[in-house]
Amino acid sequence: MTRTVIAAGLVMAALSAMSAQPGPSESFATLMARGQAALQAEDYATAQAMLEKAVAARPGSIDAHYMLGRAYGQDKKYQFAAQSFRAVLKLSPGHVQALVDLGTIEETMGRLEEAESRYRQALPNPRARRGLASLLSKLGRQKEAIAALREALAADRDDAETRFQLGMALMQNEECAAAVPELEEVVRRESKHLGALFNLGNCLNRIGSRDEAKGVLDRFQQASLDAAQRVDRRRRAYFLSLEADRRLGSGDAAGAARSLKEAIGLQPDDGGTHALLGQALEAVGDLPGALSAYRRAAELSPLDAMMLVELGRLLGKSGRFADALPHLKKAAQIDPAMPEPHLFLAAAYQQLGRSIEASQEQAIYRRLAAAANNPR
Amino acid sequence: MHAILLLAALITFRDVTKQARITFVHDMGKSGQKMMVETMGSGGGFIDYDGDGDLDIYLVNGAALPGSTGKGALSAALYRNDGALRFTDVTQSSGAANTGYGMGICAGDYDNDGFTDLYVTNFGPNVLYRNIGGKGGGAAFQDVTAAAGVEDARWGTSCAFLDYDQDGDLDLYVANYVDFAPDNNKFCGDYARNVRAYCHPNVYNGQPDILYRNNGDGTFSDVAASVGMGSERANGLGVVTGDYDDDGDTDIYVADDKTPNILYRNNDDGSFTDVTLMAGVGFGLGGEPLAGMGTDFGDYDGDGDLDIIVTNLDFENNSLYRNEGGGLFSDMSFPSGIGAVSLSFVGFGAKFLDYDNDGRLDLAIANGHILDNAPYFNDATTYAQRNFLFHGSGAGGGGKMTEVGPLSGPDMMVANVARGLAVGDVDRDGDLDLLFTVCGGAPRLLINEGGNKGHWLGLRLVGHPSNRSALGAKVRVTTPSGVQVDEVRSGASYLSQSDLALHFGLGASSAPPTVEIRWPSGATQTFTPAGIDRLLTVVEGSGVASP
Repeated sequence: MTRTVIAAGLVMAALSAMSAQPGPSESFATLMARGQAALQAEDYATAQAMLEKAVAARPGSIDAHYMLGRAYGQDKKYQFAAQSFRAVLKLSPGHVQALVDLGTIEETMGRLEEAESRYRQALPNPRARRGLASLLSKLGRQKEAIAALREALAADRDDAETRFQLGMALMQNEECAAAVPELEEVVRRESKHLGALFNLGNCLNRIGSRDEAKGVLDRFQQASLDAAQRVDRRRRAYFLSLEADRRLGSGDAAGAARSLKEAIGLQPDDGGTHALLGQALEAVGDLPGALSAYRRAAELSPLDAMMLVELGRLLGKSGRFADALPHLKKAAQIDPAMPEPHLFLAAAYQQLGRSIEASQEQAIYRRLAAAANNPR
Repeated sequence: MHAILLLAALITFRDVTKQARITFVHDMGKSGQKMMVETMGSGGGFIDYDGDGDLDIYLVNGAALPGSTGKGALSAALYRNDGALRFTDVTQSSGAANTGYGMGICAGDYDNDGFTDLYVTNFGPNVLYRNIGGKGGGAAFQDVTAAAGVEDARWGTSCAFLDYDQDGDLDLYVANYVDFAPDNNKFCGDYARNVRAYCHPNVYNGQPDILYRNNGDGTFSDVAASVGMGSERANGLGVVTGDYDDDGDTDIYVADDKTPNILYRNNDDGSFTDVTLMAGVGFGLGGEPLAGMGTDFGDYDGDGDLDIIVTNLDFENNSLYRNEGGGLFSDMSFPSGIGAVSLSFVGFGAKFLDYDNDGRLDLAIANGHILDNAPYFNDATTYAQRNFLFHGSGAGGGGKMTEVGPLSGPDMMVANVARGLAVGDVDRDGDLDLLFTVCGGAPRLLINEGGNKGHWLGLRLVGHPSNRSALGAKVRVTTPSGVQVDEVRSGASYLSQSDLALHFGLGASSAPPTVEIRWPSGATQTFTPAGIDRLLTVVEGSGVASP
């Protein structure tokens, strides 16, 4: 949401700064890079669009099909994801990650036999082993699940998630005495692991250690309450951000800033909310406040190129062109296919009297902007 | 096992809704703004309102929400059973045409006058309909809500009558959901693409439930806070009552949507203790609260105590908590076989029943997604979904349950957006039929065909000095193949009321079983009926008679 607002602002800024000229078609590598960046940023629609184009450009690319499957899978478009992973397996029948991902999707879609078959084909991959064990446990085949989990744990003794699953499988196989040490070990490593605390408490109860059970379940309850409160704060902050976005859209930047400050009070560590606050403060003319908000946004989301671009742009707007350069360069490094850093780098260089670099950046910007508009 | 399933496969369920002349269609009162109340209801069930011995049907309806373009006034409907699977719509003359935004019902004779009364929960003030038996040729029901003091205006969901203090009159538990209102409707869904969805319940604040104590003079008082259950602010959806610890009083279990479910142990002194945490029945296996919708008690593993089923959202499993005794439960969802199949379905109503009269409890579940645009958010799911029928293996089969919906006739495989589920022998042919209520659609009355090949015994209990509905009476039926346990209860499932009479399958055994009743008053009564394959009326401290 925040990203959309910022992107819209940038496009407007870009249009006002410079009119983009169409350039040559973008390369397969660029499409892949943009797709991956969008996927990392959880912008699934863009990721899918870029990666579909990448697949069309190079139908024999295993990586393109696989990334596209991931982009659909994370967006819960499971049928499209399954199609992509099947395309990978057609090109490379032993592709372990595709087998595991397809197994997970088959499981999600309720096709449990197919899921089991995919996981088995991907063994001894640790993800496949965990997926298989979890599936067997769900199917009530606890003994097989326990065997698979013990094997997985033998390969990686430090894998807390596998150990947790083993504890659960033992418990469901009515072997609480054996489950207790496994779950205790998980809790030793992750003291607030809700599932481990809950099931450890239940198992201790069942083997007659009621006092110990009570202590563990009290810890579970506290951890559970803490988790619920965190989620609640995050949810309230989210709705405040939505409200702010609407206010910004209707021209009430001051109201938006108030909502965003409240949201930040609830969830101080979300870079997107700080960036949106920066946008609101900029709109009310509070440039120092906006700069401070963008700085915090960039600190919290150091790999988010868009935040760095905004910070750089605002520094430029404040006349601090030299200060803007490192942020814009870093943004260009993080997302080499993004045109906007180059637009503002060009402007900053121009203001600093470095016209050759300004021309170079302008040329890069034109090329990337054209590719973004016409990627194939 | 396979032989049992083959026998089960000979039993089918047939949709007779149209044939029965039930024309009701549930209306969500759609606002166009994805107000979450639209997708949560409504329920209904079986109630013998006219005391003629057969089951009538009450169906709850929605009402127009702000922005709705509906055709006009909506109301609940009451259908009188005229026999031979023919029903007559008697809503207008019944006096029970609830016109609020209806959610659920529960039934019980709260004034001990011999007529079964009805409580209807609403998104808005709830309604208590006192059954006055059509005295003087008038309506069967009279709205006594205001006089009784039970008009709580929050978002009520499931409810249950019970005699928690064992004083011989019925009290009332009402689950409340969240503080959603049309004027605080939030945008949920895909904001970037402006695609709305019904909100997660925790977007709003959970509401405390109500325990109304019957003052014995036609009025009730909310005593929840003073009996140890006032502090919880949970998203209550399902309620079931039962004596899980077999200490002779009625306990309460509440299914909550994304807040922990709650088990209240009755302390037998008028107070309750929340024992959820130590009992292990508040959370899913991952230690997180699940989306509890419907719930029921039943002895699915045939060991003589009450286990718990809770339906949940898709990508969660329905939860089956096995009673281990000593106040402890184990989550047997996956080992039992009900967990895996439920992962792609959204469950609502849930009822244990012995549909094939084999003496082992089976389980029916109503399914249907919350989101009418569910595939937009997850293309592995659908809005309309088929319901479940699990065949139970009882004690001999280790409590394994097998989903036999696909073997139970095409009507069991029809996809619907089911919410409520009630069970009762509506055609009085000796096997249990199913009533599914459907959100935004017609209800589905499914008649059991073939379940009565096994023998059976029905028991309708009349309490005195216990409450007249005998709610809380525990019955043990002993046959050569084992002991079955059940209790008379109001409510349960989701927003629904099942037949108050108990139904026990006796399998191939034609010998009359031994029946032991522990009445809420504490009195016990043991007898061997003169015959089986019939519905008997048993009056506390008196004789046994066929109706």
